[in-house]
Amino acid sequence: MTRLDNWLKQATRYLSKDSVAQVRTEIQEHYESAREAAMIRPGGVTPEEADRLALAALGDAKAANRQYRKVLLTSTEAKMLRDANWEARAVCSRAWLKWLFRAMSVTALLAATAFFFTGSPLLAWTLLAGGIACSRRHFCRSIRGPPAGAFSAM
Amino acid sequence: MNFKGTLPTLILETLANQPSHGYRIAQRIKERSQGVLDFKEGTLYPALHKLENEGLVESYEGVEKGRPRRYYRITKSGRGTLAKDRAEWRQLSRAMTTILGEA
Repeated sequence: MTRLDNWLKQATRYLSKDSVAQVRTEIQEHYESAREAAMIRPGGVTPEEADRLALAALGDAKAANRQYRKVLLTSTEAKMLRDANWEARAVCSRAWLKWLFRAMSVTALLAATAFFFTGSPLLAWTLLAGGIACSRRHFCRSIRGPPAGAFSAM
Repeated sequence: MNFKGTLPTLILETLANQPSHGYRIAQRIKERSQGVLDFKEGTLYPALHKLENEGLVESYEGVEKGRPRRYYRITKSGRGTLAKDRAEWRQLSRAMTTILGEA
């Protein structure tokens, strides 16, 4: 394993497979350009010294990893999206399940109204919150998916 | 010298003239600041991705010397942000000059 491979391994830690591939490509391109520039400039250095300079210019791999994890998809986030996608597909592919969740939301709303007027406001609010959460979880997220541009690679 | 938080503005400024790839962006920033503004090049790409996620730059595939490269160009929204950053920087710079000049 080369020193660049070591750097990349640390810099791509916890990133999703696609994010890792993206980082590897861009850093390898950058590294090659830096290495070539160091060798062809007047008074150019040896290939070994060029390797050392190109790697030093990249800086701390752990610091780069911290930055990458803020802007690229991590493996945990990729798993969450995959799971959510599976859940959405499971619900949307079965008409009866979709209607069941809709019916649950409507039932919760009706029950909440009934409890509110019969003097149990706490129970009413709990049911209302549950109904809203249920409809949001099973319909809004499955229809919208992740926010546009939230992740540049999955 | 590393001015924390200024890298995105420096990237936008570099791309305001013409699209470029990561390595060239890094070199231009160093050249234009005559080596005063230095940063670790490994942090350039996360900054570029952030700008791309925010819609301030966009990337496309290009070729340089027969090698495929990812190029970045500034968007209309990026130009707006750059203009705002320039104005804020001038204001800050004037304030600092006033204070330090009095010392």
